[in-house]
Amino acid sequence: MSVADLIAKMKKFEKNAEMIFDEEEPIGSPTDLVMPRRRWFRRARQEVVASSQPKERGQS
Amino acid sequence: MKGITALFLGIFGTFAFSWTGLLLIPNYQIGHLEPQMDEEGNDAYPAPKSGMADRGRRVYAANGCVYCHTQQARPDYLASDIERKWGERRSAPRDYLFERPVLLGKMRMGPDLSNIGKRAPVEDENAPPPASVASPAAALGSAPAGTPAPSPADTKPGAPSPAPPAGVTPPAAPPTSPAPANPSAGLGNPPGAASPSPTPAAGSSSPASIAVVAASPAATLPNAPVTPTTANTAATAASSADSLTAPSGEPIPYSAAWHHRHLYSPRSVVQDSNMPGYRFLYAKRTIGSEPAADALRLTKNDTPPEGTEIVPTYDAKCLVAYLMSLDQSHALKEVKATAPAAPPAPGKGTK
Amino acid sequence: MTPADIPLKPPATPVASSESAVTTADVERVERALIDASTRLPVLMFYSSALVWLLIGTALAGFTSFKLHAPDWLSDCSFLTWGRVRPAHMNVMVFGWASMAGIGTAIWLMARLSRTTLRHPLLLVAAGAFWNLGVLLGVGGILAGDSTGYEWLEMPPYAAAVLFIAYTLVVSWAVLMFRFRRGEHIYITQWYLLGAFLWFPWMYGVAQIMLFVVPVQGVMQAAVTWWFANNLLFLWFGAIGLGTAYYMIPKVIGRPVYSYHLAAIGFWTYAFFASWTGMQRLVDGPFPAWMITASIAATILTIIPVATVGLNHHMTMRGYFGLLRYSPTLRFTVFGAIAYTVFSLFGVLISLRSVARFLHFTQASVGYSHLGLYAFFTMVMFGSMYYIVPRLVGREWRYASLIKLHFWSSAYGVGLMVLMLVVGGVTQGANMDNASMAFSESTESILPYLRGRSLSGMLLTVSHVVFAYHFGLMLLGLGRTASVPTFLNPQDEEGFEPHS
Repeated sequence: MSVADLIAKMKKFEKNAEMIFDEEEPIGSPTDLVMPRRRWFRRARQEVVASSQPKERGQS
Repeated sequence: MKGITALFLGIFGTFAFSWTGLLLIPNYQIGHLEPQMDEEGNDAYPAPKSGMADRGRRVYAANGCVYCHTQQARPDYLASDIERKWGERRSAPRDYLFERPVLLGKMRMGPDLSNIGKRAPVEDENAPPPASVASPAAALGSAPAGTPAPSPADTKPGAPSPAPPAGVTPPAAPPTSPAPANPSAGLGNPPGAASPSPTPAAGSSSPASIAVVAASPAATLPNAPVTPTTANTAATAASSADSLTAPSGEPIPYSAAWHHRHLYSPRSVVQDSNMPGYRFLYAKRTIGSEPAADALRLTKNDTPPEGTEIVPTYDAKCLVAYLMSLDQSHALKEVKATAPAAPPAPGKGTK
Repeated sequence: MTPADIPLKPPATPVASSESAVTTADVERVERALIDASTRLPVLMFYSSALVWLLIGTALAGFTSFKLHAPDWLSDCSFLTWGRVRPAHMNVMVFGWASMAGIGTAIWLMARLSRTTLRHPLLLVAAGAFWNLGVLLGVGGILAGDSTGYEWLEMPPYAAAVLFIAYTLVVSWAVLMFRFRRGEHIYITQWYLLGAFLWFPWMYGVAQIMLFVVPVQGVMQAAVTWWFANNLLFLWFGAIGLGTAYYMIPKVIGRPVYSYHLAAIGFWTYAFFASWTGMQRLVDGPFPAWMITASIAATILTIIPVATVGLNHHMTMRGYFGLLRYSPTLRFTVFGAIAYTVFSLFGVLISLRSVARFLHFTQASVGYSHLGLYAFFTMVMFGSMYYIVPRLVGREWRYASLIKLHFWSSAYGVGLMVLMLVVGGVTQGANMDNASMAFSESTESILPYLRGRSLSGMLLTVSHVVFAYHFGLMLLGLGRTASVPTFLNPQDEEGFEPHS
């Protein structure tokens, strides 16, 4: 097997890392961001900004 | 599918590798040991435990004693176990030949117990070993290191040695209840107890025959009690019971009576202990015509109400029999008592 | 990294959008939804069972911890004696909570990665039922006095048999799923999960055979026990935990693993070395020294896989650490991954003979076990549950405050516990080694730390109750309705406001 083949094989192997993504959840698109509006340490200030937005139902 | 074959083989192979290396090969090396015997084929060590002690081991395992107590003495060049007199030599694989389950332990909230039976007062080792000198005292005398005395700072109990010789009862004692004349006829003597090894039979026969003597509770025992040494040589007689209590009336440390008291109420014998009590191994009953031979002598808050006494259940007696049988002091060829090097031998226990 | 930097995409609208017909993305989404839906019953069953066991195990942990410094508390009852409660706690946590949560997560991961809907769900439901029965029998047996006396294998044979049946059902299912997977790629998580699912029955079977069926003699019993215990920790829990982290971290961030080759090297070196570490628990014990030394060497060599895993996760996350603010899954998983490194390094440390002289037989080893089983494995499991449950019930987690409370009480709880046990263990060990001190002084010296540990246990109790409640809400359909169908997207209907 030539070096080029080997490199091709290795690249193909690395491709396995991408199998958890698909078109709907592609690379570059974070998933599971539960609390986008939540900042852990700046709640007071945040409440002022956020209070002008309609709160989501159930969000505490 | 060839990717998965490689994966499967790799998964199996790595597993098989560790199984072979850590279990299969050592099993060839130390998994088929036999007891050590001298040239005449006597003095086999170790010996399987007798009936009560064997059951006692089950009680020990079922109640999780192993989670606080170990039964392995590490070499003196690696740890201070020997210095603490928890054993005369390090433990070796051959010591555990007949143990099932083996209870090496992994935690020491309480002291190591590998030789706790050996550290008992002499009267409990009263079956003379066949191949050696008859007197248990001589046997004990030849192993002076059996005395645990780790700390000069410890206060010693009232009586390491001056326990009176056979036949003398401490004053003000009621007649000791039917302490059998022959310890081996005492309660709980297991059938077939006469095994070649000195300890198992002895240990199991005496606990029940020890009568606790009524005397005023005196000193509390120190944290690291000291075993009496060779003084109580005339041990074979009936009043072995009496000589097992110090003049203060407290049971001598590591005697069967001590174990019972310790199991029932640990803090009454070892003040700073955090061991739980095992009262469910003891039964309270009304005193019959006279107190039972094996009733526990308790003090202060533990004293049962007037007219009742606390006696050990069979499981408690078995447990104590087991404890009294724990003795790894017998010399092994493959273990040097002090020097680190050892000749390669099957079941080599040293570095 | 500010939220504004997170690449946004508009939520995928349902199929009836004007122009084009169904896109590949839509197909994938529907497929994925079908896969998720097919896993719902078994996974939720395993998760629910696991959480019930977690609560029971936490109560037992409370008993275990308090009784060490208050020994007369409830000590007159035979089934509440410390020596029985302690193994009961451990078995409930190991086989009830941890294993069942691990299986639940593994089921979902296998289905997703095999890209096929879950087949034979009833096999898994039966497995779950048997597993629960096995744990119940086992723990009941231990409390009743039938413990076998072997650490980590205390469950009496009648319970172990039931557990083994349950297990066989699970592994058959896993092998079938793997066999019928679609797609040509195998992901690293699948390696770890397949490994875990094959190693567990082998290690459990071997242990049961060598202890009960064709019993080995003498100290070999201890060798079998600790070989099993470490294999369970590394090749069952470690493998599931690592596999889960390798999926969750890249998936949440949206970025593939930094180096897949490194991941592969990490897997094989782990498999090779970790299974040899068992004898580290028996340092200086009555064994041929070569066995102990081999385990110590293997423990040191596990630094290789640990380093590869740590490096991989770190490089994958580089530049994205800000996302820890937004994703509970990421937060729990990264905590677990860091704890895994700490756990491994600590394991190396306590295996060295010079250190073992002072730490062996002390509470430090309890700290070590909890570092592995809680700080690493349990936290990774919590993270995976935060990711998976919404996808099964079709709702988001309802209260962010409960998530925060859960995380911080767990993090501080386990941190405090490990600190107390390790520092206490050092004190205990130093006193124990000093023969001029009475032995009981070593026990005395650790009591204040044990009280501190009980305090940490209270934090953990809060954490578990909170999470169980929150999970219960999800089961009852009381989660927050998602504004987008499948997954969470930072752009919600009000539009996304960049923070200052």
